[in-house]
Amino acid sequence: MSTQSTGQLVRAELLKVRTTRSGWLLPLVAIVLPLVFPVGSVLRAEGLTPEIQETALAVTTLVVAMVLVGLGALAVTSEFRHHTVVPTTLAAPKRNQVLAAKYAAAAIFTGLVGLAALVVTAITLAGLAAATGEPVAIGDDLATFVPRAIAGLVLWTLAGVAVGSAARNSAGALVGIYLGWAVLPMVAAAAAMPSLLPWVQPLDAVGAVAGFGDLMSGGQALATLAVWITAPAAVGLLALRGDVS
Amino acid sequence: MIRIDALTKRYGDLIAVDSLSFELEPGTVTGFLGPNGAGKSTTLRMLTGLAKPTAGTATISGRRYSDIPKPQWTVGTLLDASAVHPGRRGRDHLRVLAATVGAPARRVDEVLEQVGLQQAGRRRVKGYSLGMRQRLGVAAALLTDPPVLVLDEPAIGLDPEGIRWLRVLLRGRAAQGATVLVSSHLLAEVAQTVDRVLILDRGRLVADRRMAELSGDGKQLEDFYLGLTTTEAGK
Repeated sequence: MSTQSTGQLVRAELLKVRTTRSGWLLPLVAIVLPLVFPVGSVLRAEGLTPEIQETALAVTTLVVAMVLVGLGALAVTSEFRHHTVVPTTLAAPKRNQVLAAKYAAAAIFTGLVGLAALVVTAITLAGLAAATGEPVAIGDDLATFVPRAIAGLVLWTLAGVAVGSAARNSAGALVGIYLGWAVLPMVAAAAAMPSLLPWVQPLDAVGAVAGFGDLMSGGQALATLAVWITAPAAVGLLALRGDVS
Repeated sequence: MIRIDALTKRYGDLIAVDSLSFELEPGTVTGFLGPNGAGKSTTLRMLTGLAKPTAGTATISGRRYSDIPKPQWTVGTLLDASAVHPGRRGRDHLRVLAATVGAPARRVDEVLEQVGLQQAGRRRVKGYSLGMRQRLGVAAALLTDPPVLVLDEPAIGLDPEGIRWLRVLLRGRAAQGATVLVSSHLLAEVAQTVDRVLILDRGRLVADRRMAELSGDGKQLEDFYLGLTTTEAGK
């Protein structure tokens, strides 16, 4: 009898997400909340200019990023919070294989939710454009934008899983991600270290990978996200060695 | 089937398990007794790979738990009944474990019926009593119909009907050839269920007796146990 396949563990991890309320509600929020921006623009009679349509896609990408990075962290920390790490480890003793399955499941889940959110936003924009008589301005760029946006989202969610594996504590991981993302740029600016800024602005990096704005170069963006993934992931791997309690 | 050999666990200066050795054979139910802090749970955690021994070995069919391919097909475990996501339905908890170990989906409903949680399995675990969580934990241990069962305090929180159900279940598994190791503080119940008792005190094995050597009633086991063990309050 062979050991568990990683594919088997990935399916189990996806099932874990699908069988809790937060696994449904948070992605739903990530898909619906960004629609407030284009709908609000139309209701405020600002019209649906090409700039507003492009910004709507950017807003969707950033909202999905902010929600799913937290969900990625919770995928690991909730195992410790609810002690489900005990039955998980008993069922699959190779801990690094379980962690790899969590990364893979987070990437798949983020890809699906990101795609759903961007498609819903695009359909909503098309509907609003038809209703207001404005032209649809995003159609030509979607084929290149969507894959790049999903790539950025997946990398950022992997950073969430990595931070969760290092922190093991839900509050600590979420504070580390959200407060770190908000505070570190201010610290870098206050310390007059502008060269540090690109490394502490992971959401800008997600935006740069997606291709909106001129926030930073694509290479810098990928390097920034790689650091946000690998540094906590290394700590998380070291933490796997201890006793499970 | 289960072999513990000079097993030791230290936490700094504290010796939680001190050179413990015993062997368990198939077709038996063994009670693992001792006061709080005696080292029972630590021993079970080392046996199942959750904690690393400081010295010695714990093997099942000649292999460490972590070296057994698909170990839950060999060993069914209940170590912590509270280790369930409260927002997940009982049935979904078992579906996740079945997916992890590669057990067929039909086993989920079979074991839910076996432990009497067919209806409750559709509810979220946060609404479960401790006894229902224990039953869910036993269901998880039975998912693969394994030849070895390791259960830590499975009777806590069970009502009298549940305790009788557990006794019949464990005796039935042993009758089918399973090796069952069960820790408990319920001495009267242990006396009715097990073939053999191992008593730990401060990490050391202080008694290894066949129940046939004792009279078999709870009172005699209780006197025997209390004569061998010390509690924090009794020091």
